[in-house]
Amino acid sequence: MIKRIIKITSLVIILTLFLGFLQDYYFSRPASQTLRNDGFYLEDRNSLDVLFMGASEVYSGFSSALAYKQQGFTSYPYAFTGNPDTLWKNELKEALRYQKPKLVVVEVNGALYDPEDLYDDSKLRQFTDSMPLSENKIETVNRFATEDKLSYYLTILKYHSRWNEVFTSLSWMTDRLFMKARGYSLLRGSFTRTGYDSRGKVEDVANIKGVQPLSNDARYYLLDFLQYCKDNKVNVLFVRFPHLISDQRAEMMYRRSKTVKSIVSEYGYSFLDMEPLRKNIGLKKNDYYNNDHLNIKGQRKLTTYLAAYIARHYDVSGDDLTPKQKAEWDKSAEYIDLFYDYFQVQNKMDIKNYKGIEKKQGHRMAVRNKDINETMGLIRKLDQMKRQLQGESRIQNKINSLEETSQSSDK
Amino acid sequence: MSYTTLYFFAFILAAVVIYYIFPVKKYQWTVLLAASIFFYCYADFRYAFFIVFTSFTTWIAALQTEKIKAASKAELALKKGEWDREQKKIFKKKTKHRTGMLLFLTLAANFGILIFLKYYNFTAGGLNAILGWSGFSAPMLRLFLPLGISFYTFQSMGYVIDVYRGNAEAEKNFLKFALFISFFPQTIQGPISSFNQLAHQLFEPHRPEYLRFKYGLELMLWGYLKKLVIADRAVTAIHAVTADYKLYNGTTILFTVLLYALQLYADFSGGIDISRGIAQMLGIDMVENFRRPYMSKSINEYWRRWHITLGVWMKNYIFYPLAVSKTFLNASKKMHESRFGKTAVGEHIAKVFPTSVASLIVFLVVGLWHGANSRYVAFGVWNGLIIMISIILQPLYKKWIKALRINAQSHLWHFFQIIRTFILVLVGYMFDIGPNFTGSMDMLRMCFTDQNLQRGMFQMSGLGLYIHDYAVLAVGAIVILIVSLRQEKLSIDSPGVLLARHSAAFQWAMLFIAVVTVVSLGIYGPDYNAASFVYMQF
Repeated sequence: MIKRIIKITSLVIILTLFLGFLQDYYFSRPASQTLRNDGFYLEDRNSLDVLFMGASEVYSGFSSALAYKQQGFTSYPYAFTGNPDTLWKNELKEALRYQKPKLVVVEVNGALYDPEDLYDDSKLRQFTDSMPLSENKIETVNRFATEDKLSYYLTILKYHSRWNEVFTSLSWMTDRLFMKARGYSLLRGSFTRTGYDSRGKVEDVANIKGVQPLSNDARYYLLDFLQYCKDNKVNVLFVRFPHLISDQRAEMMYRRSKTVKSIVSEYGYSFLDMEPLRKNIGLKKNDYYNNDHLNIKGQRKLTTYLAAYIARHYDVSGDDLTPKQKAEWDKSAEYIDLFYDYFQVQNKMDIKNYKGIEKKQGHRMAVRNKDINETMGLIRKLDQMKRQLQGESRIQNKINSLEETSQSSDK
Repeated sequence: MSYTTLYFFAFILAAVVIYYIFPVKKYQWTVLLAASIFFYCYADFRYAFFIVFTSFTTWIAALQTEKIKAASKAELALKKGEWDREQKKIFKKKTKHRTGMLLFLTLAANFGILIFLKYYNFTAGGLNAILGWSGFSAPMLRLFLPLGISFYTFQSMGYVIDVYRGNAEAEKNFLKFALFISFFPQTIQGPISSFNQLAHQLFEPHRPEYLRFKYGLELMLWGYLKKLVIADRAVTAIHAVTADYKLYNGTTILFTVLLYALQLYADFSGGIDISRGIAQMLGIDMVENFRRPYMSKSINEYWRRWHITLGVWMKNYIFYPLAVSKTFLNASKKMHESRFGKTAVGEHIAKVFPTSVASLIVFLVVGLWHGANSRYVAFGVWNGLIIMISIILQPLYKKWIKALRINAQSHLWHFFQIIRTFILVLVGYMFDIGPNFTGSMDMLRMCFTDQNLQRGMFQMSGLGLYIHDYAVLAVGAIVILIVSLRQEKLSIDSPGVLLARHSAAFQWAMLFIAVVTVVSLGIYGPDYNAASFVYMQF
């Protein structure tokens, strides 16, 4: 009898653990968002000076590792693709469970959406999928879930239909486990692309006059978020990242962002509009991988500008890192340079190829846009590059040493 | 409450736990009743009126029938010495008339509800089509079918007929009777149980038994494997073709009907396995409803292996009464006495007339039971005709076998019979999936005249399934075939008992693989609407 109970219990436990593993790793969404969410939860508690929130502009346009290298403060892009402002409050609540940032930077794209873009279930899930069970998760699901609520807690109910994507799933599983084994995200949640594809004639924002109201729901949730920040004394900087405005929709979004500016100002918060600052930042058309997102070149430029701005205007100095945390951030700073150097070559190749294709075909084409995720493969390539550089450096040092010896013997 | 939701599992877990921990074993059955009421009302409490009506009228009718019979018996005993034979005969006839009238009213009321809800719009539509020229216009009504109405109506009417015939004792406790009618594992799609087989099991106290749990859970798992992995996956492609069959060629239609054969069996038998597995865990053995029907060597055998309890019900309450009725026997006698009946052929036909015509009528009813549509009528007639013709041609068939020196016991001949029967079944399925009778015939024609493999393969790639789905279906069909062959060879119906013949390591491995397969490959959750059980609509 006892033996039987033990056997049954063992089978149940093994099954549960196996299915739990499948749920969390094999059936999870294969997107950079998943890696980015993992990276956030891997950050040591209360180790971030600045928290970035918002949509895809944030993690493609800003590099936390580069910001640390240049200005010394730690940060993380707790941002989600197409992130609507309906979720901002719950996102901030979630972030504040783990971090106590000195500043929260919110890119306002999510407040500019039309109503139909505010309640997309996939946008909700990319936030809730990685959330551990908590009161905040229950509140978020109860507020916004449109499908079977159980599927937001047992995500296998939603994603098991991905069973056939074996290679993709195994590949992502490997990348996530690799990051978890390291214990932190080396590139600090960054995701961008190498090429560029900007369409249409870019409008000078100085020519875009007037404001446009937000949708009722967007306005409601923005006010709700602002009140929450006020009540919890959260220091917030609202920003609008630079875009290539070349159509009516983009113009409307810009006008709406001016409305957001006036609303947040009423609550006493600052708003940094970087749309008119493209020249100051040094951004050109080929710094964007599409009209809304900066590519790897643009990311570098924007990070340099914005990190300096933050350091200048806010006291976010990162003095309170432990030696272990400092070592990890220093490594991220080291790898971000390797990252940029590696993709500079790729980026140049892509632009060269693009120009060749354009000449041949006689019409405009998008440059091949290679996704850059913090995959195991990429990190290994950067490791290799680092070893190569170290090897070259050692050889150079030897050559220098030999030259010195030779010079001194001549004397 | 769908069988494929976690809420259902939670409900089953709660029901099983409460059932076994209920302190007063004598009233343990009340837990099942409470669970059944909850299950039924969870679907839609509006349904409850009809099942309560059927339960109450049937219960009252059965009790009253027994009361009349008992009173009649007592009266006869009292008047034993007084009445002569003729008087006793008249008295018995009066009693039979009274009980017969009661039975008739009960059947009329309850089948009337079923017929009205199921067939009113079909009939009204037909009448409007025929008589519309005269200004006649029957209103079309928005009617809903209560959950499991066909199943519980047939089950309750079977009970009241059994009491009328003296084959069952009337249940005096209304709540116990209500449990027999509404027992939740059988509500959605049967099986249709007899009172004698099921009732005592429901009311007896049970203690938890390891093997019952083991085999019950394994049966449920097997059911979910068939339902979620195979049936609900195949239904996408079937719906794509049946929505507009004219977009597809004969090859695709033929493939679809084959797929339908797999889907229908997996769906229906899967659902029954889940129901039986739950009942088994509760200490109750529900009758089997499927026994490897595609291994049948004749249509007759097919209907003894497919939806077994419906076949038994039809046999007991329609076929036998018809076949041994005075009308049919007199007709047979007249045929015998005619000139035609003096011939060898005529003699045989006169002999089998009652059974063959009764079979045709039974299958007409079976067809109508499936739905209010000309294609279901055609489905019933097709099956009935085959059985009727096979009964009539039986002597000729035997002669041919002998003349061709066919070894009727050989594996090859059995294999031929199985394939032949399967083809006949597939033709019947064509009526199931066609839009109407004409459409079904057109689809059948296309299977012969419009074959193009290349075009068919191309069309199949656009039916909403990917190559990996087809691979799953193919593997699933092979697994079902292997298990079925083992069950047939060893005469073991329970998958759990079949599995228990192997080592513990093999059993654990199979269970592990089955659970992971259902969880990973099953069609459920927000992404998909798990296809309703095919027979839920009945």
